[in-house]
Amino acid sequence: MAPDSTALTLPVVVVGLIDVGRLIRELDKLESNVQQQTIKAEQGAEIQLPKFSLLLDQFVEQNKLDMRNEGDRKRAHEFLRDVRQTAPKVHMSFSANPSAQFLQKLTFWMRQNIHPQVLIAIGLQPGIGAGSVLRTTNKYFDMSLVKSFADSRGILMEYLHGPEASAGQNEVVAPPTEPVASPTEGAAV
Amino acid sequence: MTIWWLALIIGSLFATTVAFIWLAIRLGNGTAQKKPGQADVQKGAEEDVEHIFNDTFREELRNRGRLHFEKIISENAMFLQQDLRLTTSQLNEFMKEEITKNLREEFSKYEQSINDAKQLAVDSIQKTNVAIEEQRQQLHDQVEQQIVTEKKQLVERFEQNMTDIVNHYVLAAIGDQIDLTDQLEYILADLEANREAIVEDVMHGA
Repeated sequence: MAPDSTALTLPVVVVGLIDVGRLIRELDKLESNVQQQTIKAEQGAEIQLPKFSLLLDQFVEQNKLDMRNEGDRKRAHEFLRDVRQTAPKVHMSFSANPSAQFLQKLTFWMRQNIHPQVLIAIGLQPGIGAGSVLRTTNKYFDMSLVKSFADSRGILMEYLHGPEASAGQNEVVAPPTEPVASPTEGAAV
Repeated sequence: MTIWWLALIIGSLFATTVAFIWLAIRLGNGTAQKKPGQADVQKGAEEDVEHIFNDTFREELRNRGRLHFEKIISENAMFLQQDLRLTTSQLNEFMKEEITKNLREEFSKYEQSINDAKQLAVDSIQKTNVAIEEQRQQLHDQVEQQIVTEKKQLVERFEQNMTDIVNHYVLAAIGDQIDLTDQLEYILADLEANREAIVEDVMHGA
């Protein structure tokens, strides 16, 4: 699964599996369009490509592809199909809908540090307050403000009852709504 | 005493009348028993008597007797009136004393009854007050215990859900001011802290 240096890369605007699906559909449509123009056009005539969407435009530009070239189109298509089937997928939840700029920065960091083809599914959990919740295939990472408060429960108890009351409160007690496990330990979802 | 006086006066009047009648009868019988020779004397005496005790003298005697009788009657009536007044006064005094005595006794009984009823009512009120005080104390204890229990439960519930409470408060206070863009560094720092675990699961999890 290690990235090949000659392989194509996903642009940061392609965040999740939905975007990959859109790219594949657009490539299919483009392939069909090009074939139609090839059949209709006379030999030697230049093929007129349709206007690309932002996703495809970024993808083509980043990978320096010539979409008039059938080989590049097939290569891009195979790459996207491969990404859709084999790329690692994570799910991240935030307290509000993230902006496109935020998602691009996050995707950039994830592809730099986690995996170059990682796909992110975005969810919404207003109850977490701040931070995020990350769910991978087998683990659950709660990096929200609620979890931070739960970890600091001993400090809250100390302020409420005094130092002696916090003696038995230093252990982190998960609240009833705590999802599964602490981030460092992980647990099966 | 008045009755005795009245009886004495009536008795004296009766004796005087009897004596007068007896004297008249004696004088009449003596004239009838005279001897025939003495008829002239007797006749002359009778004439003298008739001359002395004529109608005027008799009327005068009768008037004097009547006056005397009226005087005696009047005096006795006066005595009788005085006795009656005295008796009435004494009777009034007696009645007044009896009535006063009876009234005092009745009032005393009434007062005693009222005091008994009052004491009974006071005892009943005191018992009621004691019972109410006991019930109030029991209720007070129960309410106090209930309050302490509920307070303890509330505190325990608050402590158990303190994380959610604080989070809810923070969200309500500054929730709309927390922008995800501002949280990006915090999120990336958390991801960086868990990077190895994430990479491990991404690479080998499936």
